[in-house]
Amino acid sequence: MIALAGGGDTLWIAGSDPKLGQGINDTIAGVPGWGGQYLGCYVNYPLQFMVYGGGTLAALLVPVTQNMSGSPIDPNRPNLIWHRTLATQGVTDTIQFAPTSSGPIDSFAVNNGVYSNGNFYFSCTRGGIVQWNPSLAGQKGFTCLLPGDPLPFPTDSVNTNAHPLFGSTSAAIRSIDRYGDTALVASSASRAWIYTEAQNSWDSTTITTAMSNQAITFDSLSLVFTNCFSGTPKPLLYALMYYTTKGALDSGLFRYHYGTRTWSLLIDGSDPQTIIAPASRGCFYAVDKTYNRIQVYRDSLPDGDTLTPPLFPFINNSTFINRFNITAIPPPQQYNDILFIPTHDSTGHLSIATGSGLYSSFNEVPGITTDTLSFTMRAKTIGGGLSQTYALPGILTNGMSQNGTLLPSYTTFVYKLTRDANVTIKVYDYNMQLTRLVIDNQPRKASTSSGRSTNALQDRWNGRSDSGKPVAPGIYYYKITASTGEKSFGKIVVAKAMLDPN
Amino acid sequence: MGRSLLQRPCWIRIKVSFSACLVGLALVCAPRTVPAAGTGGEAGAYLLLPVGAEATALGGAGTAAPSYYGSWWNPAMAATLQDAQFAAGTAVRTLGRMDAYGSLDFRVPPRVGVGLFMLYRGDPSLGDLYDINENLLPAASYTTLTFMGSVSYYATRRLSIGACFNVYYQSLPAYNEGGYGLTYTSATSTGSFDFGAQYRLIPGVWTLGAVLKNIGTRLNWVGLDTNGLDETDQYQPTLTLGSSLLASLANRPLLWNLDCRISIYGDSLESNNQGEAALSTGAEWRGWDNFYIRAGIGEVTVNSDLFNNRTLYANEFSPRYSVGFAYNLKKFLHKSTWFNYAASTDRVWDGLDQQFDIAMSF
Repeated sequence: MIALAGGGDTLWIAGSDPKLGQGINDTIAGVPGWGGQYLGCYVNYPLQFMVYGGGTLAALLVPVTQNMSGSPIDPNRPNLIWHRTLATQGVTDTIQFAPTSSGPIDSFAVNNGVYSNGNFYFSCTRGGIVQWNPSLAGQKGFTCLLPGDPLPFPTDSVNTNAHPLFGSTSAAIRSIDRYGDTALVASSASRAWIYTEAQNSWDSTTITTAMSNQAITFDSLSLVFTNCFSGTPKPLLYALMYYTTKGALDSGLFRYHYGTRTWSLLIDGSDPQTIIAPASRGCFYAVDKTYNRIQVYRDSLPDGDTLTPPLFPFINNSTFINRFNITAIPPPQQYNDILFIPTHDSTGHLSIATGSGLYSSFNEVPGITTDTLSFTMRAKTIGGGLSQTYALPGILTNGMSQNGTLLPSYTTFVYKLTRDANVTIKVYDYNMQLTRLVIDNQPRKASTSSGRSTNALQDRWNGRSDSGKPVAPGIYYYKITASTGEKSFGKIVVAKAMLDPN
Repeated sequence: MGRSLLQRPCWIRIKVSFSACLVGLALVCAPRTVPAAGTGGEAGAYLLLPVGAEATALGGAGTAAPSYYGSWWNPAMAATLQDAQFAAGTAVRTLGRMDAYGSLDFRVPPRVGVGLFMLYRGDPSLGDLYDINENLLPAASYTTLTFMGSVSYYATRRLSIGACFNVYYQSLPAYNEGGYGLTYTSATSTGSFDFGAQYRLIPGVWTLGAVLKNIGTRLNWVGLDTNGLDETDQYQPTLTLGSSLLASLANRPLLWNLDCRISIYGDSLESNNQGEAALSTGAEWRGWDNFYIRAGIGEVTVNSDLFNNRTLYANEFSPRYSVGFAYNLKKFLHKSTWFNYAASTDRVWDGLDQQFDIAMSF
C-alpha cells in the first residue's frame, strides 16, 4: 500500500496486494478533485499515512480489515479508516487548519505524518505538533502539543533569520518522523527535536547541527527522518539540509552520528531537483530530475565515521539508466515524489509519482545490480481539476432584474480549477456545430477554497457566433476543457431578441 | 444486380463522376475568403440531426432513397412505395437531448404518394440553470415539435417529385417579466415547404435525390423579448443532393449512400461568408437475409477553413461516426417488420447518441 501526492493535487492510493490492483485511483472519501497534500507515510507495518485536502483530513492504515475501534471498514473503501471534515469539527481555530495569511498549504509541514500507539502525529508549520486520536470524535481527538501562532516551539539562536528557502518563519516545524518505538523527531529550520510520548517532553540537546566536515557550514534543516529498517538498536537519523560551502548555498542528504554528534554528508544534492527516499538496508533512492535517472545509495558508514565526500552510488549510473529507461516512464517527466515500500526481507515496491501518473515496480531489492527493475503505470493522474461549472445566468435574455436594471447581455462561465491549467471554452448549437470559440487555451489559476478560476472579463459569451451574428433562440451547449484533461459540459438557453448590429 | 453493375466499368465511372460532382459542388459552395469556423447557431439547427436509425447508421445520408420517414428525408419517396409503411422510433442523445418520431407513408394508385410525419425533439431536463443572482432555477425543458405532410407524384419510371408542408413549433424557458422566475416562450411556423425529387438513374440500383428544405420558414417568438419586442426567426434553407447505390461486397448486396447538404442563407442559393457544405456517407452490407450491418460518417463539413486555415479546420473537424444494424422480425411479427438500431458519436465526445425504431409494411 502506498500513497503519493503528485502534482500537488493528486492522491494515488495503490492496493497492498502485490498486484497493486486494489484501490488504485481511489481518492479520499468525500473529497473529489482532491486539492490537498500528502502529509506523511510511516514505512512500517501497518503502513499508515495521512492526507489533507478540501477541508478533510484523512488517515489511512493498511493493511487492515477493521478500524481501530474494531468496526469493519467500508468495503468500498477498505483502506480509509478515518476522515474528518475539519471545518465541521470545530477545530479550525484551534490548530489553524484554515487558510492563514500565508495560505492554507503551509499550514502543514510537508513530511511526515506519524502513527504511534493509537495516535497520529503531524506537524503544522505554524501550529506545532498535533496529536490526533481518531477514536475520539470531533475536537476531542485533537491535541496540540505545541499550539499557537506565533509559534511557541522552542527556538534557538543558530539561525533566527528567515531563510528565503524556508519562508518567513525560520522556527516553523518542517518535518516529523517516528523515532524508535515511543518517540518522535521533529525539526525546525534550525534544530531537530526529540519528543518522548511517555514524558510528553521535548529535547533538542541530543542532536546538534555540527558538521563533521569543516569545509561545510550548516545553514538549515529541511527534513529529518529515520531509517526504520536498519535493525540498529538506535534509529539511524538522516536529514535533508542546506549548507554553505565556499560561500555557496548547497543542499544534500546527511546522516547523524551519535558518537561524534556530527552530521556527515552522504549525497551531495547540489541539484535541487533531486528527490530522495529512504529504502531498506541503509539505502537511498535518488531521482535526478535533470538527467531523468534514479540512483541508489547505500549508507555504509559506521557510526563515528567522519568521511564527508559523497558516496559513490551503490549502483552506477549507467545501470540505473538502463533500469529507468523503461518506456513506461517516458521522459521528460515532472517527478513529484518517490517512495520505497518494503514488503519483507528488505524487498519492496518502488513507486514514483510523476506528472502523468504513478509508476510502480515489484520486488525491488535495493542495491541488487542484477535486478531488472521494470516500472509499469499503476494510475493516471486523477481528474477532478475542473469542477462547479455552470453558466451565469443560464438563460440569456433581455429581461430586467428584480431591482429593475437590465440583465447583462452575456453569460459568464463559472468554473473552478484545483490547479493551474489552460482552459478552452466552446459553445455549440443543438447539432453540436461549433458556434463560438469563447477562449482558446488561456491560462487560468487554481481557485481558492471559495473562489473561482473564471476570468470574468474573458470567460463569457454574448450570444453571438464567431462571425458576430446573433445566434438563433434555442438551447446551446458549452464545453469547458482544461489542459489537465478534464472537460465539462453545460447548457445555456438563448431566449434573447438581440438586434443584429449589421 | 449489384454484381453485374460492378462488372460494367461505365457505371463505375458514372458513380465516381457523380461522387466527384457532389464533393465538387460542396467545395464550390464553400466560400474561400472568410474563416468559417463557428458557423453554428443558425435557426433550425435542431433540424439538422438525422431522423431514423437506418439513416443515422448510414452517417445521416438518406436523401436519395429513404426506406422510411419519406416526408423528412425526401417528399418524393412515397409515390414509389409498393406497400404502406409505418415507422416509429426514439433517440436518446447526449447532454439530455431526446427524439421521438413516427411516420406513415402510403401510395394512392396509380401515381400519387402521401406521407405524414411527426417529430418531437428537445431537451426535457434543463435542470442546471442559474439566474443572475446564482439561484438555481426550477427544472425547465426545451421542446420542438415538427409536423410534416407530403404529397409526391410518380412522374416517370425514373422520376418522382414531391412537396412537403411543414409546421414547426418551439418552446423555450425564459424569465418572467421583471427578470425573475421562469416562464416559457414559444414560436410557431405554419408556412414552410420542402421540395424533393428522386431520379432512378438505374432503377433498383442507383437513385439520385435532391431536396430543398425550409423554404419560407418564419417563427414569430411571442414574448421572447421582455421589452415588448417580438422576434422573427428564419430557418436556414438547405439544399441536399444525395446518391444511393446498390452494389455488392463478398457476393452480398452493399448499399452505399452519400449526401451533400449545402446551407443557403438569405433565402437565396447564393452562399455568403458563412456558407458551408456537409458531407455524409455510409454503407449497409446485407450479409444475411435478415440482418444488415451499417456504418457511416456524417457532418463532414466543407468550408473556407479547409482552404484558408487547415489547422483550424483540423481542430474543428468533428464529424459524426455511426454504426448500426437492422434485424428482420419476421420470426416474431409481420414479415416486413424491421428493427433498426444506430449508435453515433455526438461530435463533441460526450458520449453516444442512440436511436432505434421499428418499421413495418402492410
